[in-house]
Amino acid sequence: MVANRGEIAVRVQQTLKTLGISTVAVYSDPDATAPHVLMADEAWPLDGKSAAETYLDMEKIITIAHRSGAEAIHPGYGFLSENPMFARACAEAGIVFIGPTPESMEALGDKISSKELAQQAGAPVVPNSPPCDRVDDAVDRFVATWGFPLLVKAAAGGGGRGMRLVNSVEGLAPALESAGREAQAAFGDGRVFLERYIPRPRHVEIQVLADGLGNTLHLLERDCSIQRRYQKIIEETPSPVLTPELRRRMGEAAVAVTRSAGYVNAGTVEFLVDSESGEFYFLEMNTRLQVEHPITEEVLGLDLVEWQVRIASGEKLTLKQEDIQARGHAVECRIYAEDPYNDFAPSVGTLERWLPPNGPGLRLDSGVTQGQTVSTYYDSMLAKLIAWGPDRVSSLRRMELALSQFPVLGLVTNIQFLRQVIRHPQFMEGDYDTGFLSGNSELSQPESPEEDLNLAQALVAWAMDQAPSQQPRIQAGPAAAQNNPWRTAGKLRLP
Amino acid sequence: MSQGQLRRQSPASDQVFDYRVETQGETVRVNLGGDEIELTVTAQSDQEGWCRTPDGNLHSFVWAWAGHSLELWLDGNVFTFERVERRRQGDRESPVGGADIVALMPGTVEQILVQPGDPVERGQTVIIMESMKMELSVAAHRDGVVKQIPVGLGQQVDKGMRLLELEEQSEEAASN
Repeated sequence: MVANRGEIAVRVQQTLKTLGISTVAVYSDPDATAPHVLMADEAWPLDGKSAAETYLDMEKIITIAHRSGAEAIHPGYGFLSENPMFARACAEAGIVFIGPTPESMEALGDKISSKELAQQAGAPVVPNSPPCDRVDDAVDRFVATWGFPLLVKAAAGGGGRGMRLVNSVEGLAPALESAGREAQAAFGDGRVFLERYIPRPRHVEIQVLADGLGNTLHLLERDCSIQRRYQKIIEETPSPVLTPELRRRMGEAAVAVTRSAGYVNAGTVEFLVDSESGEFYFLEMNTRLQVEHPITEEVLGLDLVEWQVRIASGEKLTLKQEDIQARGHAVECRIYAEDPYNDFAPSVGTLERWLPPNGPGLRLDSGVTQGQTVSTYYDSMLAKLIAWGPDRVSSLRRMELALSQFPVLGLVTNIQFLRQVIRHPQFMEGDYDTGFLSGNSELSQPESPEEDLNLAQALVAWAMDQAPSQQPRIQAGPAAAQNNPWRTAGKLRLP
Repeated sequence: MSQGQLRRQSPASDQVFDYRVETQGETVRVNLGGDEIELTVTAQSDQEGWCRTPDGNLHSFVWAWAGHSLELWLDGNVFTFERVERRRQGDRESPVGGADIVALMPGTVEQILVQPGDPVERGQTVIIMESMKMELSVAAHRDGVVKQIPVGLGQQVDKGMRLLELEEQSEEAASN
């Protein structure tokens, strides 16, 4: 059973099916006809709309797992994937949780205890304060030692939620308060702490795999420095800045952390790399499959979900560290329903057109289809486009071409923006850090499509001549969505 | 032959233009505010295909209605248009500095920090929303006094929905 939605629920089922395993999907009301449901061997409703009453409801999910006879649960990423209580509940119900043990999730899920653990394993860490909810002595001492700017972070954090950059002492108390509130809302845990701010870092992470028999290895790095609001949007491997020596040291540190946590299954050790000094620091360990795992799969020719399943069923890792050699280069772009030219505001609507590209070296991990409605209930990521090439330049060229051949209409996406970033000279050079997007004002405007404006106007005029009566074909708004016969046909509702 | 007026929606500024179009088979003659353009359109279906411009270049396109907007994808860029209809009497655009604070994106009302009768300053956070798991602060766009708050805690709101209404500005206050 896959306790998730969207592209990851589709991607996990694809591997399960190739392994000859029948799949069970779960779905919320708005997802009733989503691709992850339609491809499943069985699909069970979670009755509700919000994440809290559906994909986050442990009881409902475990009950369905029982009734469907599922032997194991893959949690995907997000939702319950890093929740030790859920992993424990699965174990108590006699269902295999495809992931690490609840104990190592607990030790690594908390950002403060995970840093202590990393330090003991010999990995360098960024200095931090103990948890704090207001400006107290410990906060004053930390500020006196490290100064401003500094970061407020959520102990249970992830994805930039509950995180604030503070530049002055006046900003400290409000930041502690609002980060704590956001963390409480997002994770049910409002604890926050202070961390030294590393300016212009690169975000480089190491994929690890560990079996239950004591074998641990790393699967090289992913450079995830292109971020907006602390969320990754473009990832690539190999990293353009890692020397073989740095790669080896970071790989060894990642394996040491994984071993000392007694970690089993796939995980990711995240590091900050200081662009200026070339030093690296342990940031956190993600105890799940990452969104950006496909680029590792593409350069290594591996299926990480398959290894997750094999490890969870007690198999031994047959891979050896010396066999792990990257072939070529891979880059991933996350396709979001958002407006990059309006502060990345989420966009909702119906995907009137969704026409993904195809070609050599391309892979699309998608959770949507044409005609589907995208709501505000869940994350706004629609799909991930991955391009592989024999070298960095060719994979980036393939990506740039693919992004220019991907028509999506009905809601605003970041596709045009991603293409702008990919073809940016600094990105092409590999010379970027986590401040790249906010520091490049030319990326806040669309790249002069004005040249094509005359042609666009002429074509629209032609379109009006062709089918002026089609407007509006379907009325916008929730009422119209309910009246759409395709949506209601399966539900036996008579007028 | 048909003609009309269209508005292009763009982040910078909306542009309104007149068009007249004449289609003969694949040959399309368009007049845009006096400028004549001739295209050869090879439609794959009524909503996608290729066109050749007089310089001989081929361009691919897809278009669709999205609510009241006509969206056109052309060579990797998306353009949004709408038909300009004659305005009814009495309709007017909400002026900048108006009375309403509206939701700029859909989400849930998490906190309401002011009450009717409270004075607010421009830039002051009045409501905190959550959208796609992100916390968003909604600030007052001008100084004023809160007249009413038509939304409640935990309420799901759509983009453009009114979150808070300020008292109408008096003439002197507006000119200050």
